[in-house]
Parts: sequence; structure tokens; C-alpha cells
Amino acid sequence: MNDTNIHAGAEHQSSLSALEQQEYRQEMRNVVLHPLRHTGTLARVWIAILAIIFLFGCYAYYIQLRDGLKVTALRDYASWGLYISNFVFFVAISLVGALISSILRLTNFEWHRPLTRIAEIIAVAGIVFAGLIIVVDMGRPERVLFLFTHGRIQSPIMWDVIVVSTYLVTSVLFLYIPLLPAIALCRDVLTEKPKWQRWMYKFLAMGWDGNEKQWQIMKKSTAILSVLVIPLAISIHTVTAWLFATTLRPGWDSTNFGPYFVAGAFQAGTACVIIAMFIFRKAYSFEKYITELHFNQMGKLLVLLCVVYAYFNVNEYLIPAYKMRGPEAKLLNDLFTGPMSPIYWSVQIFGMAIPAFVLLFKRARRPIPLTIIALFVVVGAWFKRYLIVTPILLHPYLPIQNVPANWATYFPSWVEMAIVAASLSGVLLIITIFSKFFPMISIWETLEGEGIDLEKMDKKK
Amino acid sequence: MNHCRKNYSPSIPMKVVAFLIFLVLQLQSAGLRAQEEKQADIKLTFAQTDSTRTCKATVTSNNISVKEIEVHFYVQSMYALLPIGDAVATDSAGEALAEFPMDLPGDKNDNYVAVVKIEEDDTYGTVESKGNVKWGVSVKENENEVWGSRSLSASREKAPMYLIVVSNLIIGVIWGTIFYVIFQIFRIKKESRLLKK
Repeated sequence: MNDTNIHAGAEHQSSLSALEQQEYRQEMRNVVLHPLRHTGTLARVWIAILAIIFLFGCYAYYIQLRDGLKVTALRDYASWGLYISNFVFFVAISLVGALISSILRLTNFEWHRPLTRIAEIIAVAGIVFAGLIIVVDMGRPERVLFLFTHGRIQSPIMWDVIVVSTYLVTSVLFLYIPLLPAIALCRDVLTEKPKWQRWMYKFLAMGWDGNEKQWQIMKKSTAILSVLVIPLAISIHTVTAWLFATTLRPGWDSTNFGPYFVAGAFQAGTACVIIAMFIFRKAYSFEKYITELHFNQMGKLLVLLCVVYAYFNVNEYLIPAYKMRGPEAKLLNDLFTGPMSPIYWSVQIFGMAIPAFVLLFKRARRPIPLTIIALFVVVGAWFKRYLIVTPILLHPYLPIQNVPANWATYFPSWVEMAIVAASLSGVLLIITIFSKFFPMISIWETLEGEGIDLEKMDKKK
Repeated sequence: MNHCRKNYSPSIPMKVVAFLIFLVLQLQSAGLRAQEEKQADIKLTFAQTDSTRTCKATVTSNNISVKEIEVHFYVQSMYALLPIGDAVATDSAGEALAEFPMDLPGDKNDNYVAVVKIEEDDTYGTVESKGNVKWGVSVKENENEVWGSRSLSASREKAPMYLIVVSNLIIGVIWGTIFYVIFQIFRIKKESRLLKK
């Protein structure tokens, strides 16, 4: 792929002959299917480590179920601590599916094509664990059903339940439907796999044989989902922001919260995709398909998003700081110069300001430096959610009465940390295991971007 | 000196005797405990005048009035017992009186449950008696009050109509599209030449 077809549209014709196109397609199939055929020692060790962390988190959750939320550090002041910070982070990264697969698709940025699947699986894994961590935070999981049977439509929590479940279903469909040709390929080619796995491919392929009608339905459904997923993605994070903004607390009482959250989500999600691109490119030898050009483009996108997010941060912090009124002043002093200031300034400087500046230079947008910067952005994004949730709860407008003094501070318990670590490893497990069963690059979309139409090839069969 | 040791194990008849002795002792101690903790009964009667509501608890044990024993009066609420004043000691007739407030809310039939307890008494232990009485004040929704009208702060059943209509419309359109896309997946299956073979 070269620079000329970054924004060219899918209609351009490949300069390759029919035979060369077949060879190119076959080569791509071999490369993309290779990780499904072979699992190296490093991958096994990686999966084992994630599984151990996940199982330890399950044990911690068992303790929480057995003894109740008293095993956490959540009390009357910080009733939303690590769990809800983590929930907001997961919802944030799940938005990237809409950005890469939908917004870039609809605006004809052709370079997004090999990245759609990575973005979509991050979206699905993120939203699955966002839903689960909410249930963990509830403390009484058997009461989840009551949200539907007794929920009030006036409550932002109800809106969040509706929008999270809707976005989950849409994201799964958005991952699954464009994956159909790849599943059919696995069904036809990976005949050495165990019987259950072959059955799974056969079942999920929905009888895909690549006929004209099937291609037409698949592309039409993908186009519908591309449009549908944008308002949904914006809704999910806007509603998450409203959970805070509709609560009368200093620091949350803001009309900017919806766009502020959406901008931050796109920034965090883009950084996640960059890290995943780098890992899959190296581990699965995708250098031919995920090129330096993709890193350069994603780097530019990240600069834009960092600048937009910085703009919202100025609005959220500097304007209230100019006034420094009452309880808000206590909160801001806590963040600017108090006990939270090391986290606050690290997040603002390393997670936003430095990336926005450094990525202006082309050299920083090469794979290794860009991935390191993206790591800072992701870690910063996680701590940013912690700063949005916790310090504000510790500074209510009115002090909470008749509670022990130590309830006015918050430091998560080992149970909370173990469960949150498990949820993070769970997200990585979903992505890793998915990549061992399904191709991580969409073959038909990438070939289409190269001017090779798989639909026409299938027709000639 | 004989250092020879012998393992001693009781014979079966000895074991039976030991068991019987143990059994007799247990029964005896249970009997003693039963004798120590006497049975008591509390009978409730309710009396009402224009301005007072009085609950009388009569405590008896084997049909003999129990005097000078502390009795606690409560009203059953959803999760706990609401105390009605301090504990009252019974008089020589074994009776204790408590005046109940006039403004306690009742259930949909204006009833509430009065509970009278003797708590952890040395002689009688804990004894409880309950009585259903129609002394509750009706809690009926007033449609004219703010709480009763449709609003964002009202109950689930009283959500604002515009919110119900708009939210259901959005949910309907989005989920309608999702179901349409799911239907398309089955159309893909239907179009399969592989499955038709």
C-alpha cells in the first residue's frame, strides 16, 4: 500500500494482473492464518499469566460475594472507587470500534482497513468487562434483573444499562458480520483443527460460500451498522458522563461532561489500538499489512485527539480554578497541590501534553516511539478516570454525618485491586484468544483497499 | 517394680452403663433448665377513646399473673421494630399499659402490627406476642401533590410522558434496526449454495 490510496476510496482498480491478484490473496491468507495454526511458547506463557491473574480476581470476587462489600474500601464517601473508574475506562476504550471501523470507513479513509478488526475486538472486550464490572460494583449480583423489572426510566443508571447492553449487541454484530468470509475461510482451510473447532467455524460461517447475494447482504448490513454504531458509541459515553453530571457534586456539575468524556474516550481507544497494532504486527508478522504508514496516520489521529481532549481539560479545570468557589476550591486544591497532585500532574503532562507535542514530529510517529507514547496515554487515561471518580466523592457539598473519620479517605483494598486486575487481564484474554481463533486482519477489506475485489474473485469460482 | 504396661479398654457392658449415666444426667439437666426458665404468656388487648389509643399487655405464667416484669412495646415496620416509649413494668395484676401515637401509618387496610416483648428475662427468657390492630393512618396518594404527579423525581410508574414516549421511540428504532441486521444474518444462511446442496 502506498500513500496515494490513503484517501482514494475502494473503487480504484489494482494494477496487478488476475494471476498476481490470486497470488497476493493467497499470500495474505497464509500470513493471516499462520497465528491460528501455530501458538508459540511466548503466547502460551502470556495466556497462562493472564489466566492466573484472572482466576485470582475470581477468587477475590468470591470473597466479596461471601463477605459483602465491606471487604472493599468503598464506604459512604467513596461509594464509587476503583470499580467505577475502571468501568469508565472500559467504556472509553470500547468507543474506538466506532471511530476506526465506522467514522473512518464512512469518511473514506482507506488506511483504516487492516485495523478494523483490532479496533472491533477491543470494543467488544471493553464493553463486556464494562458490564461485568458494574455487576461487581453492585455487590448483590442476583439483583441485576431488578434493574429491568424495577428500573426507573428517569434514572441515568437505567439509561446506562440500556445503552451498554445495546452497544454490546451492536459491537458483537459489527465484529461478526464482516468476519463471515474469514470464518468461512477457516472452515474450509483449517481442516487439521479439532472437531469442536471445525464445528464452531461451520456453525458461525452461516453457510457462507461468497455468492453475489451473500456479499450484497453482508456489505449492506455492515454499512447499516457503521451508521448505527456512531450515535450509539457517542450515547454510551455521554450517558456515562451524565451519571456523574446529573449528580450534584463539585467537579461533576458540568454541562461539558458529555463531549469531554467522548473526546477522552477516542483518545484512550486510539492509543489502545496503536499498542495492539504494534504487538500483532510483531507477534504475528503482519508487517506487510500493518505498515509504518498506519502508525503515522494513527499518530496524527492521536495528536488531534490529545489536543481536543486538552481543550476540554482546560474547560473542566482552569475555568473553575479561576473562580475557586467553596467546595470546588477544596477539590481543585487537592488535585493541583494536595495529595492527588502527583497523579493529576502526571496524567496531564505524560498522558496528554507531551504526547500531543511529541507526536507533531514525524519521527515520533514511527512504530516503537509511537507505541511507547501510546502506552503513556493509556496508563494516563486509566488514572484520569480514577481522578474523575474518586477525589470528587471525597469532597461532597455537605459533609456526611456520623461516619468514622477514616471513611473520608479512600485507598482500594486488595480485593478491589485483584478484581480490577482480573478485569484488565480478562480484556486482554478475550483479545488474545480471539486472535488465536479468527484472523486479526480483515482479508476482504484489506484486499478491497488494494483494488482486489474478493466478491468478483468468488464469482469466477 | 512392674513396668509392664497394659492398654486399658472398657468392656462393652461398661460402655453401655457409662452411656446410660450420661443420658440420665443430660435429661436431668434439661429438666432443671426447663424448671428454671418458666413459661409466660402475653395477652394483648387494645382500647381506644377519642384522643388515646392504649395497648394493654397481661402477662401470666400458669394462669398466675406475673408482676413487676419489664414489657417492651413496638410496632412492626418494614425492616425493624419501632419502639413505643420505654419499657413498662407490670402491676400486681400482671398488666402493663402503653399509649400508642395517633399518627402511625398503616398498611393499605389501615392495619399495623403491635408487638409486645419480654426481653431476655432471667426467669422467663424472651417472650413475644403480636396483635393486628386497625389504628394506622391511611397513606393515600394525593394526585394534586408534586410527589404524586408525573415528574423526573417521581416513582417508576409516574415517569413524565414525554420521556416514556421519546425513550421508547429511540429504543424501538435502534433495536428494530438491530433485529433487522440479525435477520439479515439468517438471510445470508438462506442464500447459501453450500447448505442447499
